[in-house]
Amino acid sequence: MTANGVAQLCVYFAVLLCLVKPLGSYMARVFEGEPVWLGKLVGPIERRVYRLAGVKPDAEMSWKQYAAAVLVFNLIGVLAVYLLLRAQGLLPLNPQRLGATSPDLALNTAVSFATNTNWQSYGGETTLSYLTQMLGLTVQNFVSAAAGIAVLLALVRGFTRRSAASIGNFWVDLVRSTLYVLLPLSFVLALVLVSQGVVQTFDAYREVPLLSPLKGADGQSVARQLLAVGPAASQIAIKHLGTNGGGFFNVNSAHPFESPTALSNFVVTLSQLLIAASLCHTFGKLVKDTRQGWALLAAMLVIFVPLLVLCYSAEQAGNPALTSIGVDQAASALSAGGNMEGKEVRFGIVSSALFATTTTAASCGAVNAMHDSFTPLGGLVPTWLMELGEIVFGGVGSGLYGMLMFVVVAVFVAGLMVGRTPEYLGKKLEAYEMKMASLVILIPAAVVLLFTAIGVLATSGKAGMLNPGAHGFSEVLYAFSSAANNNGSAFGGLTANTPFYDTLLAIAMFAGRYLLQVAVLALAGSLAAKKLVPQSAGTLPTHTPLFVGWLSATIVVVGALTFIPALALGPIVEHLMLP
Amino acid sequence: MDIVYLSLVLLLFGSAFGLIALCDRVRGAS
Repeated sequence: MTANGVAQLCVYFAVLLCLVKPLGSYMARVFEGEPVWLGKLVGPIERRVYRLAGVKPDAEMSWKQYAAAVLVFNLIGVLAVYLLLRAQGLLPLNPQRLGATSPDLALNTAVSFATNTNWQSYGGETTLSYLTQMLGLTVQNFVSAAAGIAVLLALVRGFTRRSAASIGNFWVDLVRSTLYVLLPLSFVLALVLVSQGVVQTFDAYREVPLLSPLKGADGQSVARQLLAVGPAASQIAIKHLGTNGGGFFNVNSAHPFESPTALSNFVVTLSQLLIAASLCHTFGKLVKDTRQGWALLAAMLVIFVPLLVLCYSAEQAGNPALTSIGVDQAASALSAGGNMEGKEVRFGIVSSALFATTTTAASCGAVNAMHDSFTPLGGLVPTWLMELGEIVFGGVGSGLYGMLMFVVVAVFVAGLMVGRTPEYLGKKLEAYEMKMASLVILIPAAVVLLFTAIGVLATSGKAGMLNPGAHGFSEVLYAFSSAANNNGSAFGGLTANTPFYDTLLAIAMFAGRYLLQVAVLALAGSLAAKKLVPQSAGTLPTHTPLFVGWLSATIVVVGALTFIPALALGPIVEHLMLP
Repeated sequence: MDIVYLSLVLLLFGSAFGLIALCDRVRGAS
């Protein structure tokens, strides 16, 4: 690691932690319905939305009604995006006259964006019209993130309400999250990105002369290049803030029109963790004990920071295979050093390692470097961060409700070990809560391991692998880890736009999102119906460093026991094979 | 092929609605 790199990481965490409290407090006020300064502007729009949609904002929902609303809303979203993709050749805002996508790609993309995964089996600039990108994908970027926050709010109400039959109103949570949090932040970030050079236009792609003509593969001289443009900034802002991750262009945030400068790279990397980290403080505010929120944030950092250091140091150390043949990979005033394969020179090692770690910790899935080209240990970190269940920050809303499932497990196990009745925030945790929390933890793990096995056994699965051996296995394992945990980043190397992978990945994304949300809402309904148990000497404190350590250990042990055997066949064996 | 993939979408969402019913039944039993 270099002093420059460590300084950049320190600045990153300092800025992030400074923003957690103000944004977390603002979101708490929004979700509690208290007046906020944006209310004068947004309030009339909010009321009009309810009127047009026929929503009664004061009407409460049981957990089953809430879950049904989540599913119906997402079913409509999936169908709408599917139809848009299949009909885009007939629709306007398509200056490149791009035709319909294949049915399997339409299924994959529709499920991908509705589930907040944003796995992309396509290249944006060669496949999708401006209308599809804006009306289909960008809209889903907003509402899928808002739906994640809504489910979190329902779970929080489960903890805070006493003997209640309802957990809130999904439509109100969805609208308020979108209008008061996601839209304003995205608007500001989009302007910042435009100021840095991110494109935002409806013009057709531009043909420009090359500064220096090249020779093509066929030996012919190439003097002109087609530059893809489009309404990118408005999509890219929410892509990071909403932990969506789907790029406007194929190479995502490595494209100079998506992230042109070191500053734009820093800002978008920051925005990936911003809402998820701030929601910890929001949680503390909503349960009237901010120490609980800080404890959850601390547990996330306890896992995240060592993994970031491992990824960064592995990439900075470079590739031993190149060192053994005399290649100089040391950092100097003129070179970032380290393993620069697959990385943008304008970002270098530390920004690429930080981005790879945040994007996989935060369930974002955007990339500014190709993870396939990372060293084996550098590539192991993003893979494992996803496999932990996208709870170390995780997706907007979904990360924290996933973390709270681990809290349920940690409190339950601790209770059994010391002979206490397990309780969290005054709610007794019993067999039903454990069953639901176990479902949330086990479903993605089962999908990842089972589907990876199918991928490496089936002929259609093996046909998509670019590399043989351990690296090829890593490509398939990464793809299903990404899909089932709703991350969406691609390792690279895997040809995924085939009916086999499009369909299997779509099923994995679906299971990793909606089956989990149903279980979380069932748990919320069960908790809301319970009475509040007064604190006693036997209550396990859940805001102490001891509990932070216990929670982190629970997450790491579950993640290690479940996935180390699979990782041993991929990145670990690849690392051991290095000179 | 559209009908196949749209049927799959309905099947998947149907399974999620089935899970709501299952979770409710498990809760009622416990």
